[in-house]
Amino acid sequence: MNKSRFESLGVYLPEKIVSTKELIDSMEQKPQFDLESLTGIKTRRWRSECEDSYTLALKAAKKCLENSEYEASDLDVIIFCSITHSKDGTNHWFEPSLSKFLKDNLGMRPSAINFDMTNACAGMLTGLFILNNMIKAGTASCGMVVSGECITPISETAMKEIKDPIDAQFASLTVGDSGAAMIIDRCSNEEDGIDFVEFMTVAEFAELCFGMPSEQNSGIAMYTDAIGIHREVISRLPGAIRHLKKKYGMKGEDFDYILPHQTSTRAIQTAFSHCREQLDDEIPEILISLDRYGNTSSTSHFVVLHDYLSRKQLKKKSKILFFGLASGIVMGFVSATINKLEEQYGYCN
Amino acid sequence: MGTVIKASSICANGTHSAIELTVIAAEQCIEKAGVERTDVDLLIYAGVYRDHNIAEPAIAPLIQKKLGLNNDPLINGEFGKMTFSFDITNGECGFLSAVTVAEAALKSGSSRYALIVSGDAHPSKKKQPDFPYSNIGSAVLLAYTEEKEKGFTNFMFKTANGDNPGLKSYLEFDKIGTRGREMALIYMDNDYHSKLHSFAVESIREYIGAHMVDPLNVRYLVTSQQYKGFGSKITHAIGLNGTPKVIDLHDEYGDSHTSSLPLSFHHIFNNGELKENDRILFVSAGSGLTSACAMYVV
Repeated sequence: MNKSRFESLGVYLPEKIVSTKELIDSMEQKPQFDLESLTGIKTRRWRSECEDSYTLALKAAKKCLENSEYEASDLDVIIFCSITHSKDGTNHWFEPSLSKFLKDNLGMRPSAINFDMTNACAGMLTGLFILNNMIKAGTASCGMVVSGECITPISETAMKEIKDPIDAQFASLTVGDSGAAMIIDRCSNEEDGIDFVEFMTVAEFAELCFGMPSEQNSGIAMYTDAIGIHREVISRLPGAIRHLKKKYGMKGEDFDYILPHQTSTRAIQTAFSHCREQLDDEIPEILISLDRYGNTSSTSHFVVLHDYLSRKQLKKKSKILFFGLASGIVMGFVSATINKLEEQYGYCN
Repeated sequence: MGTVIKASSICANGTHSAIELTVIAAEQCIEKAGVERTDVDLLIYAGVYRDHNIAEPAIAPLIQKKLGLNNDPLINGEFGKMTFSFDITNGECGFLSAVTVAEAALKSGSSRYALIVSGDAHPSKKKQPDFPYSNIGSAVLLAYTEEKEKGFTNFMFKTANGDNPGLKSYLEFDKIGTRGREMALIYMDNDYHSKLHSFAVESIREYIGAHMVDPLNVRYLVTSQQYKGFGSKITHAIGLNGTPKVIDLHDEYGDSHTSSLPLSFHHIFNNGELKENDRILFVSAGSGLTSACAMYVV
């Protein structure tokens, strides 16, 4: 069976920077807690007036192709994976799929496979699950997983609507806008590539977070039981890792880094400290870029990867365990080396 | 070797909720397939319209929860069987897109049984006279077989170049105020149906040529159901009359959108009309313009 690898990465971040302090200062009902110290988020990127999910994705896809050995016409598949589907301003698209417009604009073949896929903040990792299967099964040789998350409209709704010091919309203040794209291709190099992709949906708790149009204002809102999600995830994470250890024979020391979905620094550290105690195993260095980008939802792992790679902060031949977490509740892991990306960006000595 | 449909089911009980329609169809489908629900490890929702325009979580986890498919894999401190759920959208062609995704998961060994569900009801969950799609929930359960020349083969996807998709559907937040959970605006060009017909004909001709299909060996043609006669107009344009037999359920069900192909398949499957080695050509075409074709061998 074929193996796949990360061939190229492209990330686009809007120029405008908005601090947590600015957000909180403009709110009538301020949180009872210190949002910045609780989450570790100092700033996030914010869309300009002419940016939407589609343009953020397109810019990232173009950067990804610039960094790739492939032309757009070589790609067999494009999967658009974001939660937000804005195009032409704030219009939230249903039909046709936004992947169709991306495919045309990038110059892909009319016969290439395109579709949109949504799976909350696990969007890009679910895209990776799909494309990895397609490459293993021989459906495709190479393809692109892309997402444009124009998600700060939920922060604007929260700023207008939060009335309660403990409000279900506080998590909406943690997000940031971004676009990310990666090309995955078939790999013959034993030392590079994706070892496994393992995902599950703990649907018992599917209703702990909803993103949907607000009924009080025009625009989209997100309502999260952040404490509930944290409680259910933290109580399952050691068991999920134990399951992976058994199934794939892996150990903590096999990995150089763990790259979790970016929710809050404190929540991430608490979760993995708990795993260390429960599993009596090493937890590798945790990669976090929350301070500057916040939670960029479905692109989070790739914004962080781009951040560390750009600063040449990763070791040569790094092995990374990606941890996906999303409403659903989706939990999942990807184990991969990223040698080709390190060739693109460089690595630390 | 191929991906076979172990069972199919539909629901058209007048309910106006995509989730409820698909859950009823899926319950029946799992029962007919005779598989344990704990063995259904992949669930894909392929509908376009979503109850109350929920953007997250995906609709599939909400359906999974109602079906009880390994809702919590942690049992007595150990992880047991698990199910992974997400949504695929590609307008009218979403069903065949979901089948390619499921096929890759089944073939690569990542999944054992994949359930594809779709149902397009108006986001308001109420009857809306302007909404062009009928409320149909559908479900098919897929499995992989090593048997030669069985199940789905030779997928072909195609999109037309150009910025005019013929049919556009979105939520205009600037105009709808606080009614975001209740709305879906659909704009259809006057010549959409004629352009779609030409594009579907062009796609089938290309498919027949690329895969050396002898139309006389194809027993059924199942297509999108945008209007009555959509399928027969296509066979007429290609010069095929009588073979393959066109399944047209528009009179009975209207435009069943993302459920059109599973609905038509279910119709012939349920009537006991299918024989071993029958060939069924699946063709969908819709907004984009986008088309998808695949052959299914019983």
